[in-house]
Amino acid sequence: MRTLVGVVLSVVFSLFLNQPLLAEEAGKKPVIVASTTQIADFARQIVGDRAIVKSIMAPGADPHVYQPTPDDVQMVLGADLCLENGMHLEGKSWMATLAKDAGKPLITTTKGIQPLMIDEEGESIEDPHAWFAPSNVAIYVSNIVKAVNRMDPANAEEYEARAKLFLQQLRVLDAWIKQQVNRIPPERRILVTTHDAFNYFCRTYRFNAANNYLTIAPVGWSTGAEVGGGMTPERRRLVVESIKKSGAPAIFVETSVNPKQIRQIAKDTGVKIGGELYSDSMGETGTAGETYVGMMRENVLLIVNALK
Amino acid sequence: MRFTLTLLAWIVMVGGLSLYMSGRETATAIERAPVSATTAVGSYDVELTTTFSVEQDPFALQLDDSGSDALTVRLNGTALALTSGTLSRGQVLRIEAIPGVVDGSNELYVEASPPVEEAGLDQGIRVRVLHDKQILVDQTLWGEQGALVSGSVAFSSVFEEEDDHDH
Repeated sequence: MRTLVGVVLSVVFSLFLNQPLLAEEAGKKPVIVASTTQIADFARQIVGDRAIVKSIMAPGADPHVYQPTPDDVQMVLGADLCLENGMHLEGKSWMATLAKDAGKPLITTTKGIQPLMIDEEGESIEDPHAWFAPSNVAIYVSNIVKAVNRMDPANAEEYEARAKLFLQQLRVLDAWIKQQVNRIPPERRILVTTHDAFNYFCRTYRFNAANNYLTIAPVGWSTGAEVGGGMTPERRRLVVESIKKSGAPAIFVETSVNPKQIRQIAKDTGVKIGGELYSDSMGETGTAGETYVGMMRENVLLIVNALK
Repeated sequence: MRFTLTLLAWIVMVGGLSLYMSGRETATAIERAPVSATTAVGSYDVELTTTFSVEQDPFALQLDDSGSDALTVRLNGTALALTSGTLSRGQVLRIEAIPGVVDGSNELYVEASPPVEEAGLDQGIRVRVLHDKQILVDQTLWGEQGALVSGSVAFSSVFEEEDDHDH
């Protein structure tokens, strides 16, 4: 009996011998830390299991007013590469500060994108929500591929192969969105959201003709206190006027922004809430919006069903 | 005695595992001789006709400033040099005397970017492979709406008997 126990223990012990090897192999994987859930998803589509991708922001968090925590500092300290959106999406440049303090390389993934300029309080501001046009995401992807190729040149071919598949998906997604949006009569293509996150979307898919194909929202491009950010009584008045004038069939709340203001506007104008859109962050793991393609698909279906 | 038996069992187990692991590594490390292919006899041409005007893909991977190819043709994995990277709807692009056709099976890969504005249309590329001006393959590749049009066309080289038979 004791011999049998000894044999079993030996087997278990020999299996444990392999554990340090596996752990060591996992430790070799480079770590990429992205500021937002969208950028983390783009990076994951490119590196697959070759690297560990982490996101500072959790699903549903708001990057404009985000305050980094000590855990975020630790996360960035363990990074081989940091990725940010840029164009002041990360309020007070919190991602750039984190990377700089930790001495880690930082890539601005929107570099090369033609920014959509919005006029706010006499200033011209670059709209940072560039991912709402899938063709812009192709530029995010190219920037990330260049960065990971530099970080891990041995696997460059693999990163490029994955990126090409993702880019094909983006191209098909873009065509599919056009098809879906086409179901809404042009005069009903009125998109009213909580904050100015959907300008690239409106410009690409021809929403809000009366507003120069820009979002109609009570809160500016940022939910923070930057120039053109937050809600002013004037903005609110204009939105209520636009809704009444245009006859918008529905207005939308966003997952990452407090819905209180838009719900009040819906009440004041008698317009229904069309649903909750993914905007500055994607959905929780396990939801349809946990990936960029899923997030865009769900947003479009929600918008089309509410406005058609 | 029991302790010795346990130790012996442990040594056998771990030793066996180590032998298996090292044997497996050696087996994977065996190099295989490269497969040699003989160049096929005769001249092979390719003709491409598209239902769309080939345009730069706004979703292409841009790793440098050179821009991506809107039209790619590869034979057995090697890119063929094209005289022109553009191709208009209905126009025939002829690539003459393509290099790299081997005896036996060959594979031609074609990829082209239709305009994104025409994403709602079904797009296709007619591919013809000719051997000494005779049509060997005539096939049309169709793309999904919105996607790049791409696909592979397989063809076998033409076996040509030698003339110097003894009569």
